[in-house]
Amino acid sequence: MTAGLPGTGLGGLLYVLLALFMPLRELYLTARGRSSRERWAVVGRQASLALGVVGALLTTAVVVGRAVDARGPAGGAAGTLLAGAAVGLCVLAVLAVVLRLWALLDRRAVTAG
Amino acid sequence: MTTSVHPDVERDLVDPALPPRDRPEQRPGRHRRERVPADDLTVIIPAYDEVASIADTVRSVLGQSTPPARVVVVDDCSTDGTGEAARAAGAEVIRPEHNTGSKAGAQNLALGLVDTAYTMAIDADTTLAPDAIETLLEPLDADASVAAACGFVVPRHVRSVWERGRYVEYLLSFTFYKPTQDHYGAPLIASGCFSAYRTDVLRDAGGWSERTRAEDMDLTWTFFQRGHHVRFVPEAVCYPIEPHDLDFMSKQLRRWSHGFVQNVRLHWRGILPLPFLSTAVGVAMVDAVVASLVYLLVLPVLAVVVSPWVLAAYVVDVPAILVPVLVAARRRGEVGKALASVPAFLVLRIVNGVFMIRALWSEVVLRKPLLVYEKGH
Repeated sequence: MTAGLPGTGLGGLLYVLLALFMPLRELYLTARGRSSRERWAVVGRQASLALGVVGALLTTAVVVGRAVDARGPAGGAAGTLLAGAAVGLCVLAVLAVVLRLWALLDRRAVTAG
Repeated sequence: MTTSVHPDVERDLVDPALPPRDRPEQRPGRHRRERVPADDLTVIIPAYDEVASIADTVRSVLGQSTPPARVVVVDDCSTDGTGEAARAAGAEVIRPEHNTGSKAGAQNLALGLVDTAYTMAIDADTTLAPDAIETLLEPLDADASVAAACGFVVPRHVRSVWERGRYVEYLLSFTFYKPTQDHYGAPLIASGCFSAYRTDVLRDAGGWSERTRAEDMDLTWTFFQRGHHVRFVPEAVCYPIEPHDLDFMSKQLRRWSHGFVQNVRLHWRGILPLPFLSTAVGVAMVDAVVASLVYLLVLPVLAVVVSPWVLAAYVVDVPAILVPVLVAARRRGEVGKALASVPAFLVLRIVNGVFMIRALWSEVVLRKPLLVYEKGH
């Protein structure tokens, strides 16, 4: 995700989701008069890249799935890849919830202290 | 400390090699007497034994479309004539009596002499695109809440396996991750090789801290905690020399991996209330730990125990990675170079895993932090 740091794709998945969410966020900002043509250009670029990444992942899942399934016992490769992506999404969701809870508890502890 | 200014400093020096359209006087709407943000900018270049690259760096700064008011090279007790080369190229040169021991130390020495509103840090082995400074200063000039701005980084040389791996890492990071981070208001790092700062905010933050081995990350996260903004400007391009062999790469990766762990430990509670930053950093940390274990332990074991097909996991994400990398490479006219560099990227990310595990073991388990700054580009 960051140059010099290893990654499994979990970070990449986070940024794909963030990029796919950008048009919705920008719509909200546009409605409040806080957007611009330049911002929409960035949003379009990043969301397109994210769609491209998702397309590449799905294509890989199909191609690898067919290649591996054709060789016999190690079946369900496409399913395995998609299951991996689903697990990644779950891990991200859990991480996001844990971090927000942690922040909330930490703030309360600081306030109480 | 001694200070000297070359008598022949030519403020409007323009590299004759620049295409005419890149020269300041040829830019539409650019009037030579018009005041520009760069007139209030000091560029600091820390240098230790950089005689091979310092002149190119200084010339690329002085040859900008909007040259800075001052270019200060901190010759950190070099033994190879770095100071003389920098002076001959047109920079002011200061030299401490003793080596400061780190890049941050050298930069802070020069920060004390800065009397301009903006300060820029550039590595001694980094050259700039002709309009990089002009472009990078735009968000600082336009918005008083912006404390720092960083640019797009592309390795100057892409020849060895390490440079090629880093080239793909940068194309991926600066094309997909960093613009997304910027959109959500928090680029994770204003890279130390080329960033501009509001001088008063930089001073308030204590300058570049020496408490971690990644002073740029430390400074960026400090800014966020203090409510300042940091911007990523993809049009401002710089070209550092990246490690060309494993020895130099090891030194850099040791610094970066230890620096990341040190900064997470140092800033965690401070960044926790910042939803985007804490999530991005938390995911990066978890991902780095899991990836290191998966690449170095889980996949090899599964390949032996379950099926050799498991090894495909090392490359299964290549098509997805290629999407942003090739988009960036196409813009630069470097598609062939990018494709040829992908195998090196796969090697480098496994090596990254080795250094991450070592850093975690040393910093978290053994409680032995990396304290020495090892220069490695």
